[in-house]
Amino acid sequence: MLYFLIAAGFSLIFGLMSVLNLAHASFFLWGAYSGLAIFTFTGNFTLAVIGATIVGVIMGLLVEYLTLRPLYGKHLFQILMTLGLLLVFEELVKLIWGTTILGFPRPEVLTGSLVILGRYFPVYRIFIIIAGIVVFIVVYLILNRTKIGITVRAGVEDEEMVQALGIDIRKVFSGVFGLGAGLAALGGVIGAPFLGVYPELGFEMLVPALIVVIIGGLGSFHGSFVGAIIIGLSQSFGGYFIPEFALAINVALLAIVLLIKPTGLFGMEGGH
Amino acid sequence: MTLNHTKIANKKTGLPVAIWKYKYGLILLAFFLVYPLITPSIYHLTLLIEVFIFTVFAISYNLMLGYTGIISLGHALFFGMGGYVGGLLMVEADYPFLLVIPIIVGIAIILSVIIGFLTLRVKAIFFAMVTMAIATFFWIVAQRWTDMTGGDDGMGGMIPPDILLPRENYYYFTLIVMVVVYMFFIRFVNSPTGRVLQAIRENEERTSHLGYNVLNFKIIVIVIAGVLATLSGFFFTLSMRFVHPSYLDVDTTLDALLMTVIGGMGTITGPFVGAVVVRPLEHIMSTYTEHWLLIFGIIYVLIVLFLPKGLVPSLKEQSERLRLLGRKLLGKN
Repeated sequence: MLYFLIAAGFSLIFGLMSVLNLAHASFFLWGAYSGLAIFTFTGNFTLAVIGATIVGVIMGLLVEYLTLRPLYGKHLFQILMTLGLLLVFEELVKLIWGTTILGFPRPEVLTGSLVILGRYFPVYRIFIIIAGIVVFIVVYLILNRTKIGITVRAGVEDEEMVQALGIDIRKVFSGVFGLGAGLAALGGVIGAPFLGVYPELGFEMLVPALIVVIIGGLGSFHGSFVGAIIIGLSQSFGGYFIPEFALAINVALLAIVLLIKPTGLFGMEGGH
Repeated sequence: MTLNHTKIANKKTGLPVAIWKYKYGLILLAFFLVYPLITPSIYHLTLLIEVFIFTVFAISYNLMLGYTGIISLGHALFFGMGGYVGGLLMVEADYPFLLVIPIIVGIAIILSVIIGFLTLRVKAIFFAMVTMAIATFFWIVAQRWTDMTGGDDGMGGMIPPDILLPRENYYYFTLIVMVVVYMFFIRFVNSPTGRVLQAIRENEERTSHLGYNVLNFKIIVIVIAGVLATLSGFFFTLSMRFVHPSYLDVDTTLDALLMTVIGGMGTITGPFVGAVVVRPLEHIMSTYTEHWLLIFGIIYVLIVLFLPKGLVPSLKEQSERLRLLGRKLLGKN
């Protein structure tokens, strides 16, 4: 589910703006760290989640405005730029919080385990799953049932036509970028008690997220949902039986999908 | 249509045009040839060896990024593969140096063809993402497979053949490698194939409509880049006599990227300028602060934003502009 949270924004941003935003992983990372900072300061987990998401949105808007605006249409430079940003954000984290692994205590309500059908499930994992599903439903509804969603989907289909209809596509771009960054930061803060907080976290999440997005199909929102479930399952099952090869299985899956359907399971033909 | 200009002499100097054209390169080469005689400092030699090797690595990256417009985020894969496979063959299997080279070159060719065939059929962006995933995969293998690779402790014990053992000899060896690769590089980008690659960079659709099989050309370039990166990784490992999982991680790819971007994408001088600037700077800065990567990252971001053509072409452009401006002012006065 965490993969979904990070992959969804990534895929949305790519689909709409055709920006391969490698810095996306750093929003996840910063979500985790700023969530931890707020949590240790206030002791309130809800506040931490909200605060971290807001930090993510603000970062996203800033990055979009300052560094990506001048580069629209230059795909190569966008990749170069976001890769540089990934590096800068990770090093900034090291500068501010140091390189050690920090623990993020789970809030008390969410500790312990539940007994379902005679088996124990940690509450926190269930919380993550529910949060992921809620986010999926909310974003799905926004995309499919509201006017903003229509504009965004229209922008994915045909950017020029949308502009011709008198909509400032750049504002839509900024909004989606902020939303995507917020989703990633939300994933970061929710995942933090589960994964621990350390500077390499962002990059470690980036690679599975890339695989998820490729398998699901670039730019497809529900594709990234399905992709995340496939990768998450194969990771946990593979990790259970042969821990060393969890990633190998995913890379193999990636190769198979690319061979059979190079655009991913839900990918659009052609596209941008 | 390629005329042979080499025999025509430059009017001013009487030197053959070919020599005149590369005068700066030749002066540099002469300097590097006599350098070990001036200073016996092992540290300087080692640093220059690194510069030479990383120039080759940057050339391989420049061929993809600068000349064809393909971006790889996992180029470290080949660098590390050369180091690890080459090192393992020498340490564990005791293969001689001259046998190891064709083996790793062969592996590099096979790997690049597979990756290219899987990813280049769709969009360039897939190549970027998949190379990153595959490189990370190998990075994790190098870290976890401790019996074979020594894990995070790295692996040592690979020793160059006797003739290359003294630092000076290894220095000359890498210098020759660099010069040979450079000559190949200049010939290649000016060859018909090189021209097609640049056409792909400028407009892929148009090139394919002109009847060129874009996929084949792209696979050719990533095979060449893969082979060069593998060799540079192997020679670097031999120079360090040590190989570490960090050779495979994203920082190594970033190194190549930094050098290519700083030196200037798609330029002949770029890789060397990049390697000369980046490598020693890394050494110097890392002695002062542990956050040197941050500084590098910021410099890099600023260069991408404001000097997207790289250092040398941008400076050239600026000086040209100044000269024009000066001429204009003088003319008016």
